[in-house]
Amino acid sequence: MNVRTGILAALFLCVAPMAQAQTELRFACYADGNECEVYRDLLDGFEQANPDISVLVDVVPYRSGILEGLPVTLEAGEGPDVARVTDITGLSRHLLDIRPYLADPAYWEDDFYPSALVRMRLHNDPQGIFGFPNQITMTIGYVNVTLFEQAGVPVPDASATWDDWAEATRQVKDRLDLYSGMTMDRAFHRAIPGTVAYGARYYDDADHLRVVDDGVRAFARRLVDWHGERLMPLDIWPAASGSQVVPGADLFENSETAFLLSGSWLLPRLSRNVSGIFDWRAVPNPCGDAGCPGGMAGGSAIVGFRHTAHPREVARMLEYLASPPALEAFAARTLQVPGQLDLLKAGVPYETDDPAVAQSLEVIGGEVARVSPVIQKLEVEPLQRRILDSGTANLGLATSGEIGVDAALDRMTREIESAAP
Amino acid sequence: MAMNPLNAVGRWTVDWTNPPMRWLQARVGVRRMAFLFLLPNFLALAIFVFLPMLLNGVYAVTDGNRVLPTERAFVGLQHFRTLFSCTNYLDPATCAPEVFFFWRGLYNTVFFVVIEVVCMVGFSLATALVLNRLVRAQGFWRAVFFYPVMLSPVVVALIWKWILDRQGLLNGTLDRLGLDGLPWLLDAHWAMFWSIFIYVWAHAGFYTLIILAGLQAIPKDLYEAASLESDRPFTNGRIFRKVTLPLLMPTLLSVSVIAVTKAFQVFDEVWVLTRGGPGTATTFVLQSIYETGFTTAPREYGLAAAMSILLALIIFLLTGLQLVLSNRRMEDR
Repeated sequence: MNVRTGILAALFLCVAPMAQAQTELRFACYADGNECEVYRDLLDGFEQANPDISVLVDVVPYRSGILEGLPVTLEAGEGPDVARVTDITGLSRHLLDIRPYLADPAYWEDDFYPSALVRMRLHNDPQGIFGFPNQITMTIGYVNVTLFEQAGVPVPDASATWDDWAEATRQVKDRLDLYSGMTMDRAFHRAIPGTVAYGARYYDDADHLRVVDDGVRAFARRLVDWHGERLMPLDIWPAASGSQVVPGADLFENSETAFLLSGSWLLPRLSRNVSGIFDWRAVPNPCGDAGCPGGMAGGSAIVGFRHTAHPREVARMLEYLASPPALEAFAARTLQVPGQLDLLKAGVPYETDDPAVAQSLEVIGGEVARVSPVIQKLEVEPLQRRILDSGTANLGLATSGEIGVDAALDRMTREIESAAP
Repeated sequence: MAMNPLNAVGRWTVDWTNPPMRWLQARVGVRRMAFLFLLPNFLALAIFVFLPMLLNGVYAVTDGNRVLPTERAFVGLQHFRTLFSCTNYLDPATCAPEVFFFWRGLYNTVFFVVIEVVCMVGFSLATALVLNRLVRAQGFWRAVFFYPVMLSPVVVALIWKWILDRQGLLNGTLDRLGLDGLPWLLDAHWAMFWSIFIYVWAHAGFYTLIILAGLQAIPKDLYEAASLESDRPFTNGRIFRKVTLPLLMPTLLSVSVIAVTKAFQVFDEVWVLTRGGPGTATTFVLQSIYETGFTTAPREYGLAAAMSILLALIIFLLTGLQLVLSNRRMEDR
């Protein structure tokens, strides 16, 4: 072997591993059910189609991993390349603009539930594209039909008001000696449709944010009264302090409440834990004196972060996950509502034979279609997180009896005003 | 005779470290060698204690939701002004909204500390006195009382949550006995009672051991001398008041100082047990600092840092007061 051959061989040995080198992306994923497993399967297909990229799916807890830990990690310039997040507005400053790498940016701008992109663009380039809503969570009601039948009380129809529901569940509670009649997750997010149903406008005529008005006051009073008479349980709103979210699903699953207002993310869990034990179904959000505003959408989005060393690869991964086949597979297997509008209209071939889930998904689809303009505006409100935290904390105080409704709403007004720019 | 392998290792280590140590000693001198040995500990303290304290100070005088101190805006004492914005300090509702939970938490914490420390020291003293008198199985009973100390606070809270939940073990038992259960964790007074009870249950073993060591350090002949020189017969109560308690005072003082400091830091057990509720009945000051800094929007790192400095000052003052009072009492004696 002469010198030239030796140099070539050495060069080959150096270059060969580089040609094989993979870019590793870290994906922080939280799950309510099987979401991260489904993403792992989908990403296996992505890795086969893109052998130069490997994706490590870190399954993290929602509260400590995503809601509390991720913002601090990102502020320090660390963290995953991609994550499934819910506080889009709070994280928008850290999001990676993938528009330059996308083959069809118009698809990303026009084909997804619009509020997510608006929230991602806050504190960002208004033309940028930063990710996609992979799942819409809609506030809906769940009814324990068996309890209503046992009590001989008809389930209120779709036009029933909160007062109608209160009366019906009061009868069920009294006749069956139930622990509670109706329950609502401890989150102001869930209460907002109720406030709008009783006339809350959230913005004044000049379009300035004015959270507390007669509509909010009317619904807050009802909420506190229902807790006072124990129609609503002590275990949810009064039980915790501050802005902590407390779900009411356990009470519903244990047949300790006849009606639950919660999120559509609960569907797979109810199908798994409840179907076959008692009859249940989803119902639209209750109406009020001011009409039927529908629910309030939330949900999660898959986003990339600007500190990543591999923006092009992140964009390729997001493009794969946002493709209609991947979105459909994700929604079908996780029993979640997709954030892609065509898919939402066409319907998803959900992998379930549970009739309660099929019926509930129809109700959720109807609720997505009739979200009121006020709620749509709140979905993209920059101070949304502050409003939700303040509403949860102060209505929690009022339902526990520590302060009155008026004092709670005054505090809420002051808190939101102090946070306004 | 063949050398024990452990001794061989020791000898080998000495042989190998001796030359560099001699070399170092020749360079820095014998007196400075002590500082050299302490250097690793000093470094660890500096990095993990003093630097975070310094950073906390920097956060307290800066504002914004950025984490890097260089990216934060200097605001001077603004956070402290917000903290002291109440028109009536006995009513947290008159404070700025962002510090409402802090003041509520502080009052709850003060109440908790007063009751908890009295119960903790009293229970630990009583337990230690009983253990000290036990002739048989003293080690076993010491282990029984110490066992909860080894449990993680979250485990302690979960165990008690299963017992005290609305449908928990306690209410289940009461139900079987034909009695009505109570919402132990959903009633403000009961929630505070159980928070104190569980905290004492979980930590008393530690303080019991300290007091037991103090009791065993009292020379036995003092008791004999006291009974010989007294003109009145010595009852157990008198022995305790005249001999045991005075000699145990320094130990009790240490225990009280540690108990007060630890009680001000109550968080994990109660957070898991009651989530600070119902309402704010069991919201303690550390929880409010944590929520201000990390969970409630907008994240107020600066305000949370100012709150923690105020808490540190309160603990520092209380500890100082305890020491002064106890020194004065010792001098009076």
